[in-house]
Amino acid sequence: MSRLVELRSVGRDYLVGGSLVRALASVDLTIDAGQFVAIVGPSGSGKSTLMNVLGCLDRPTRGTYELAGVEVSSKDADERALIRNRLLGFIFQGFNLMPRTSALENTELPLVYRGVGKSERRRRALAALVRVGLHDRVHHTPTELSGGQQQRVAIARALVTDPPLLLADEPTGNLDSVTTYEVLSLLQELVRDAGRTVVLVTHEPDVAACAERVVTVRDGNIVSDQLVASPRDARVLLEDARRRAVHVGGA
Amino acid sequence: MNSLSLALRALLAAKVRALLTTLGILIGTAAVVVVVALGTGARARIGAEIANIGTAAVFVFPDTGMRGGARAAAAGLSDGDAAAIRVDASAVSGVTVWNTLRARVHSAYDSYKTSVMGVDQEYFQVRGFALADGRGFTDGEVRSKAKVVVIGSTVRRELFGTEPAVGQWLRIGRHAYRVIGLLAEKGRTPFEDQDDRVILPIGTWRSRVSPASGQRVQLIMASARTTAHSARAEEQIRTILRERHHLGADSPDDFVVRSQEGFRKAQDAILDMVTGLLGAVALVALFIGGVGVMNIMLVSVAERTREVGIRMSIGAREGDILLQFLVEALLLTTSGGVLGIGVAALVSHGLASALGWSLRLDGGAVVVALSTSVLVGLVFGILPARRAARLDPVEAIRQG
Repeated sequence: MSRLVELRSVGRDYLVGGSLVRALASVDLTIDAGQFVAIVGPSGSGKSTLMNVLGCLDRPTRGTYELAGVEVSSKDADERALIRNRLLGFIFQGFNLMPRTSALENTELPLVYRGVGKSERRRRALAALVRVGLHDRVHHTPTELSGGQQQRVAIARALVTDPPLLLADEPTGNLDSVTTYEVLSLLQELVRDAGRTVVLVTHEPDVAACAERVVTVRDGNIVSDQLVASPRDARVLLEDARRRAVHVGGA
Repeated sequence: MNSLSLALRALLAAKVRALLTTLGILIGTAAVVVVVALGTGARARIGAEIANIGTAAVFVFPDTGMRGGARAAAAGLSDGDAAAIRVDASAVSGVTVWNTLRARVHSAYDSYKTSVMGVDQEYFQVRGFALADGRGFTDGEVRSKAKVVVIGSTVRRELFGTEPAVGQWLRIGRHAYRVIGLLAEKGRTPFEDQDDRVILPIGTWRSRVSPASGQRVQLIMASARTTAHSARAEEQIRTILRERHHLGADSPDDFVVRSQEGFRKAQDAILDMVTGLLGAVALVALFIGGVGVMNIMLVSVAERTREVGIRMSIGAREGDILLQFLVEALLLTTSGGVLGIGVAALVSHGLASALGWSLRLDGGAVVVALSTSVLVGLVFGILPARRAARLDPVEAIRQG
């Protein structure tokens, strides 16, 4: 498998109120293409900072970061914007869709910044929405969609540019268990069937259990990095959750 | 195109706010355009009134001021002065002396108090009077002090009603005069009703209407060959009269020369100043509107920090964000400018009918006001837009 992410001795310090905060101490991490990696850790452990560095939203204070063979830690703001547009897809806890904007237009947005023509944009956005099972909701605005549907629009938006790396920051944090497993089974499908690479930040062990590999961060360092012998199948968990929901609903 | 629809959508999301912000620009733009339209209208109106009197007219008054003390009313103007101007002033095409007094005039039907004037035969040409009926004075009538008059249409209405006036008789004091001509209507100037007059040959006037005034001349009227000759005509008349009045190099004029053209220029200068001043105030208002735009754009950027973060996370560059907010500010000010010109058109129309002026939107003023509103959008939009573009994506996404 080809190496997609390679972090070497990456650290990130912040100056907060005059004192230095070491959010990341020294992190070495490699991720191969086609992996489903969960990053876990308590809040304040540095996992969000790690995610921001991986997402080229933030630059490391020290160390090097190679993404798809390109050294990106030294790139300037516009170059990083280009990398985010070409190589990365983001899925956030709060969905982060544009308000008053249809699912279709939300999904098209990354292609707008890439300068793709209108008809081509529409075609690819529709394909992405079909891929996440929202073909019948393309003209709905976020307020007309459920949380799970909104998150699927966000996934479609992340997929539409066909990026090698998907970054999901607590993507199920705002969802109930049924929609949580819907989203997770979609992510698993993307890795299994489409060969995507997914890095998912979570503090829920149940969610992390669906990944093939769990990286644990604490106090700005990676304290454990383990392959999961048998990742849980979100489809099965989804069935269980649905049954429980029906049961609770019936009782 | 895309950033335009994006900006439109953002503005429509907060309609009332956008409308209020636009209002500042709207008022400023409308003020600029209306002020200039009023200035242009006033100028046109004064120009029309002066044209009615005759743009090439030059008036010479005796200066009865007591500046000289000893000189008092000694000199005055004479027929000889008028004759000298006629012969020697090359920029002058016609000259007449002019005396007037208020007197009651009687016809067979009625009597009426009006201005009774004594003039040369050139009077009609100098003042631009045409005859609606009959004829003017002949040289012989002027020389022989014939008892003939030309009357204005107001006098004709008062004395003869709808009867034809030419050939009728009227009486001033003890003497009867035959009406030989009727002036074509000329309308009012700011100073007088130009149709309210009875005109006699100057000799007749002196000997029969006002024997007490002797050879005195109240006013010499001349007309320059063209409006462009006005200044030269003024200068020539002044030179001729100073020589005739034996004024030394150090003594002041004992007369005053005034041309309509000079009067118009003075009026224009004042109007230009007032228009310029008010226009500047209006432009200041427009800029204050711009400060309002900046304020609202700053609020908008603060409110949409998260949106900016999201856009950055999916690949928007600083330039993309900058353009987005700049276009929004430009859209605000430009639509304010366009609406302002619409309002200015309405206000001008209303003012035009209220004042009875002909007001037209000045193309230059519209261009200046519109381009200023665009400029205001650029100037006051750039700071908020830069603030948005410089946001740190990590911080921006975390907010909201």
